[in-house]
Amino acid sequence: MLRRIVERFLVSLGVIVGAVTLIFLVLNWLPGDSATLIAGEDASAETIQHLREKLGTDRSLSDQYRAYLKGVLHGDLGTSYATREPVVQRLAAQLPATLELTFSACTLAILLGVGLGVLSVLHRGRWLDQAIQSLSLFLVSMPAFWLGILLILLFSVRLGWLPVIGNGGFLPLVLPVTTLGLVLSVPLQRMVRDGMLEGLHEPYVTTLRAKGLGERRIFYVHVLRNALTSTVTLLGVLIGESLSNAVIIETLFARQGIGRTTVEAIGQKDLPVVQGAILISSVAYVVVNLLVDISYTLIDPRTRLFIPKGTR
Amino acid sequence: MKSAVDQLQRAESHALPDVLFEVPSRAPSVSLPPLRQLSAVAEAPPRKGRTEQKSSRLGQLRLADVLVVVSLSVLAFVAACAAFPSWIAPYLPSDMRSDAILMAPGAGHWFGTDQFGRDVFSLVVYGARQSVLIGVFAVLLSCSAGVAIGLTAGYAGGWLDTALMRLVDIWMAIPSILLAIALSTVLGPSLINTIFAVSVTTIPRYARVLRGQALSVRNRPFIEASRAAGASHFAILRRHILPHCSAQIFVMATLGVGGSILIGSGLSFLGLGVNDERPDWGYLLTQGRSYLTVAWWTVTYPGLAITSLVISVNLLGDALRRRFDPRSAPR
Repeated sequence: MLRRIVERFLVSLGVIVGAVTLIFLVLNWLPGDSATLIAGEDASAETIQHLREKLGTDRSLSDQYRAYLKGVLHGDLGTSYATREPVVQRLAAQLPATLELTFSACTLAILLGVGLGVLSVLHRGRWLDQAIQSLSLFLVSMPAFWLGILLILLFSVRLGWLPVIGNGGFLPLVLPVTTLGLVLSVPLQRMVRDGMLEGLHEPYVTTLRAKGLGERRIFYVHVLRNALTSTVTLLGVLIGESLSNAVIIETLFARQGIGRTTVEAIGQKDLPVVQGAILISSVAYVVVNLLVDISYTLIDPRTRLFIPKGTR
Repeated sequence: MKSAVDQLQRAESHALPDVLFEVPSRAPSVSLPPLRQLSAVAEAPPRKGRTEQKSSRLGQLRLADVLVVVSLSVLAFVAACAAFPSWIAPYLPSDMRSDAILMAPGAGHWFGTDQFGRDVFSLVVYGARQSVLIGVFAVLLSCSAGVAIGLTAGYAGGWLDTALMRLVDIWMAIPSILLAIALSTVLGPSLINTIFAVSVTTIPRYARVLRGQALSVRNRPFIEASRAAGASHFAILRRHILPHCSAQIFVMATLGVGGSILIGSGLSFLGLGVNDERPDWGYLLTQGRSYLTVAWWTVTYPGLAITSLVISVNLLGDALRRRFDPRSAPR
């Protein structure tokens, strides 16, 4: 048990180092030179060379990589090209806003996903189930920002209930959280529905009925609980998706946060900030997945008995 | 219903073994009365759901067929827009009329006009090409790369499998839109680069699934037989394992087109896509966002175009999945 946790921990550490390397390579090794990007296409060769020396991009790639890795280990993600501020400081200032958005959205997604999933199982094959399935088809097929735009049109422009943009307080948070929560709830809802429909035909349900347990109890206590256990594995994916979508939602609603900072940094060709933001998101994703993995071993005893190779 | 009876019998055989000895389970006429008694109490709600489901599945099949026809017609129309926009659009995307700025939808302009006096319907028609190209080519690229990686890993096993799958793990750790953003930032905005960025982010999904498929096939007798007959590994992969997974690949690729179009539109919404004089749908949405409060039509119709295209592709993918994989049929 402990061995498995330690093993998972080491693997996650490896994945993080790998992700740092991959992001570094994508941003620094691919064709495209940040000095040229900043100076513009028609800058003179001297200006570009000077800028390169200033940014430190004239060094060899392995030197840069070593310096960057050393910095990351010391909690230093470099200095922003645009504001000359340490990247860590700049991103830390934005982190609370993003956490506020993603946590509220994930909570809403879990409530909606489980609620709608249970509801569609209770009404399976009938119109409510069909309606929920159609809704989820719409939600996976529309861009998140368009859903946000539609909500703005309805609730801010037409009805005037909620502000379009703004930071702080509860009201400006409603629309972004609703948009993100709706988008994120779909995979959860589908997994709960499928899991419960499958669970209802498992032998243990028959046993419980034979024991004389009430349908309600079987449904909510046993089948739902079993379906929820496997839903836990989705939490990691949920975090990844919410961090991805936060970029777009924050831009749409002009909210502060890591995502919008990233987009701004892209506009200014501020690669260290982009690199740092992606790094933070990836680390968050890996850490959450590690926690999910460990808690899953604790929740579901079956995973402790045998671990089928490669089916993780 | 039969399986439920079987299950009940199984459950009963644990609880009441002597009943089972007296009554041969193969003779339903004799064994049913006690069963029905039991099932009348326990099986009532699920049975109701099941019979209902049967009747609704007939209705659903017809509905599903209608949906497939509708999605195919939407796809055909979008393809026509992508191929011959000038035949369908009444105006050019560069036609700016200063006397018709931000006009509401009406007879002359079905979808209204934007802040430059351009006809939104024509813009949407001309924008179709970008989305279609991104959807199709990003999937072709990522699907072939993912299939190659996944099949190699699953078939080879051992250290190669471990190495490739670790790489996939790392790849998946970077949130997809952020990776696409990083790639298109470095590469610069162009159609080819957008396609590349979108496809790179979706490769791991194909690799994971196809690896599992290859893993489950590789020890089957027919693979061993062809290996014994002297087939090379590459030949086995190409002639036996790849065809074996083709249905799965086909379904995944179809569903992947929708996802790729969405990521692509997200990139151009963030200003990282193609934005020449032929703006794509995501870029139209970005522009329209500034006039959201005064001109709902500039943001509604391009989004509607993306959504109806992606819904059609997804419905088609679901239909293909039902066709090829009966287990995933809606319950």
